[in-house]
Amino acid sequence: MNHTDMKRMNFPFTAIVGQEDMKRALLLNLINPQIGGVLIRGEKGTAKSTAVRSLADVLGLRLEVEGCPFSCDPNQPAHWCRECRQRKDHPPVSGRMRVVDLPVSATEDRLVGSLDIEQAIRRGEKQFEPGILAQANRNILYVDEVNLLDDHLVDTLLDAAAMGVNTIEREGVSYSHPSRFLLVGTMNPEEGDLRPQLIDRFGLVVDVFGEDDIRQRMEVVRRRLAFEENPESFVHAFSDQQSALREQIRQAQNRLPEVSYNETDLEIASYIAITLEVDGHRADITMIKTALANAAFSGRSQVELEDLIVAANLALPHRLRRRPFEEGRINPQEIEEMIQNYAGL
Amino acid sequence: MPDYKFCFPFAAVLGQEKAKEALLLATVNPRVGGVLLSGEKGTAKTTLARGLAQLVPEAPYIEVPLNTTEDRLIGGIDFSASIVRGEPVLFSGLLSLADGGFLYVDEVNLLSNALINPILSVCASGINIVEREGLTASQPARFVLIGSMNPEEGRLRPQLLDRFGLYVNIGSESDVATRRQIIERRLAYEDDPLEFCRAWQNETKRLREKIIRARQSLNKIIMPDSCLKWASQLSTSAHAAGHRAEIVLCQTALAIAAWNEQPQVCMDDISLAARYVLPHRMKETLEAKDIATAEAAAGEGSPKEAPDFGSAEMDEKNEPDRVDPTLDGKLDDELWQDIVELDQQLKLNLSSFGKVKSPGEGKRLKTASNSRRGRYVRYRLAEGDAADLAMDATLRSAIRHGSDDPNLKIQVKPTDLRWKIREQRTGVSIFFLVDASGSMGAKQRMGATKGAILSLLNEAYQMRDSVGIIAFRKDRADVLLPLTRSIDRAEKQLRSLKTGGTTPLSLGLKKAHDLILAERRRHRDAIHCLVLISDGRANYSQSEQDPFQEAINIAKRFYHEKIYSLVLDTESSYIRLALAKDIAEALGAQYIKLDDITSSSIASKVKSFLTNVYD
Repeated sequence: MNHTDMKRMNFPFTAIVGQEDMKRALLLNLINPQIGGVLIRGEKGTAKSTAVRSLADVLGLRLEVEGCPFSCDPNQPAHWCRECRQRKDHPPVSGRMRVVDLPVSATEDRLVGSLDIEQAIRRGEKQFEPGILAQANRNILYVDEVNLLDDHLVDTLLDAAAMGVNTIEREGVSYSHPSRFLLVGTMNPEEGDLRPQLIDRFGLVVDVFGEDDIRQRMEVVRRRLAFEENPESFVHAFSDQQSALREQIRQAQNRLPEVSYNETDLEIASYIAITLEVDGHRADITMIKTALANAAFSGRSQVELEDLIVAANLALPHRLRRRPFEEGRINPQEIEEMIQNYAGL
Repeated sequence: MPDYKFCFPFAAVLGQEKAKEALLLATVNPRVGGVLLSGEKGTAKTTLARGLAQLVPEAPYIEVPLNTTEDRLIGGIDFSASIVRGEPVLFSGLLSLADGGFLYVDEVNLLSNALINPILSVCASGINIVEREGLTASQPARFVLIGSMNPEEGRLRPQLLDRFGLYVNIGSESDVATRRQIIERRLAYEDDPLEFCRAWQNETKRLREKIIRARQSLNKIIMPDSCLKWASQLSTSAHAAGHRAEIVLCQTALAIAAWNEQPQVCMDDISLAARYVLPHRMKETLEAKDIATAEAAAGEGSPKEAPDFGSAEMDEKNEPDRVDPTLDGKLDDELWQDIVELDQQLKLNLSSFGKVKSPGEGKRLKTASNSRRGRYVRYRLAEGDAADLAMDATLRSAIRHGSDDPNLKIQVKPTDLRWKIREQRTGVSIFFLVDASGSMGAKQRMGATKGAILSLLNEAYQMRDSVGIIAFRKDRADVLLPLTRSIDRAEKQLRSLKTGGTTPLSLGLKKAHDLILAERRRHRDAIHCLVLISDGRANYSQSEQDPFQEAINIAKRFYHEKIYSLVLDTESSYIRLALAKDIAEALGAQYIKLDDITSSSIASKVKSFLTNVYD
């Protein structure tokens, strides 16, 4: 849309070496945004931000109500904004999902929106100026260094994430608009932890590490250098892979409604959640959504055990109560065994 | 207002019978005075509250977002409407809008005091008085206050706790079949909310009709004297202060009788009501040493059977067993157990009741922030050259006089200027750095530190201080407890602690240093300090360096960064090396030799250190 943006070219998603869990977690969320986002934890320089930013180029098209500032979905009246609810017709236009940034230094006004001062003084009119949460509706809301976000911004973010709606009751303005976003956060755990309430809002969590393999590491550097030297030709070199991925996502999105699961799949998710003593019900629900997306991505129309295993490893670790001097991670093998035992294999 | 028409239907929520029951009882009889749902994340607290909007569509359902400003809560001058009409026009605040309906506050334990206070006073009086910008008005504001909270995020102010008629501790289901169905329903709902709501329409309608019937019969229900007596006996045994407990017990029992379509209240109704009314009103102070036992007891408690309120297909013939009236006064052990168990979960949050105030407390309550960060909660008259203008308040003031400039609808004069008052949850952040290695007395050191931290957190509500713990052993330093104000979270995280291994003091210091700097970036207004509990021994280093020298080098960074620190020396061998003193010097820290390593000695040393930090 915006061609002046060309100089801020993103590193292609398909050119990222390794980091398979991170890439998968992000892609599964694109296929099914209801998974509820990803938190990526890892030390500096592990391509966390690169991966998130590069998503912009593989995001597919979707339908929006023409002229709606919140990009409402014409086919989802339950999530319409106030204006769309009052409108008689909802002409669909095609739009693209975006990555919306929430800088750690953002003010509360910027996040939730505020009174439009110019309108107020010039015309004496009370008008709402939308904030980041408005732009984030149906898009990716990206918070880099999410663990450094001010407490009161976190509260507001949680409020909106929980409700799918941003309600503004401040500065003489009373307004509410849909704010259903895919929350993606990156953080360096060395700089402090996240509040439990916030971490639970992330559908999936992945821990990323620098590559161990020398050849892989060399490839990382080689590609980065090539990109920096000539971004355009580098991006061009990956254009086929990028469009193949876009197509794969599109197909998975189309397949998703047809993917089915059986009673045993649900029982396995519940059983694991109970056995591992996770808080609340969000873990098992997310696990099934993730398994469905993974099956769709793999081109299947039925959830298999391997989908559940992938899902469990992405959806559960951060919901376990962590005990001192133990890793906050669960052993993937342990999960696999639990699942296979339950399934009677 | 958002549209709650297509929220997940109340009737479709599986399990959570107690929460559903409490909410329905408050809906039938608003005089029970509100419901507090307390529980972990992801347990349908908000879903249930919002379900009420669908269930009772004729009553207003208002949510108070955490970032609400005071004017929106109470009401004030509507500047754009005032310009049009040429006279001050009032806009209604959320409190008045909720009149006759529900006022829902999610995460009520995180709400700013500037907002809690008006809610409390209106709850008590039922009248909202607007006194702003030279305008006075009073509006009716009677509503059912519904709050939800996750105790891990911090405790609730006792006065506020008492405002809630009913209390429900909400958890997750532990039955595979139920959980399976929960996932199924949630997925079906997200797939197509409209269709899902439609499918549950009949259930919703039946539940709604039952509410209406119960409401109509409410004032015809008879309250026998034996029940009144039972209610006061229960309240007295629970040491509930004042008469509110008894009154709420009776109101709740009336609602139960109305729901069950009984002509009069029976003893069982009072007993059932007690499960919701008494737990948060029992005011015995629990000694710190009992906390662990209480937790264990609370953890084992199994939820009591309660009538199935959740689905409208409730068995209508199922008449509750009548208690023989001659049996009155005899306490039902089971009921008592139930109340006490629930209560003990709350005790953790209440145990600092009536404690002696700490010396620095007055100062610590100052939470208004001077920087432009923090949450805008209210405004004040402008003075000096602050730059944080409260535009809305300024405009409301300017509206009272006209504009001389034909191009401007509103003309702002210097006397109209109002600044924002922002609030930040500041206080002192105390990082405890504890030696968990195998050196002598590790277990005792950890135990005492844990006790001291819990006792400090007990007072942290008033002080708004937060506490974190880093421990070092073997080849690593771990954050045992991220900075928190929640005693609940601390208790859970500290339950099991490992000790033993080598002593990587430098690693511990490095971790503490990094964390404190990160916290500083996040909360510039807060004060961060370090409390090192160690004998100063170090026998593991990250580099080739001598472990002790490495620790000294890192300690010097604290001095350069001007981080307040305290060293509590736990050395207990006969031959004193006083290594910790050298570390303290490098840190620029206050140094205290601990003669007895107990919770109370650590806590008192830290408290007096904090008083110094403030001065």
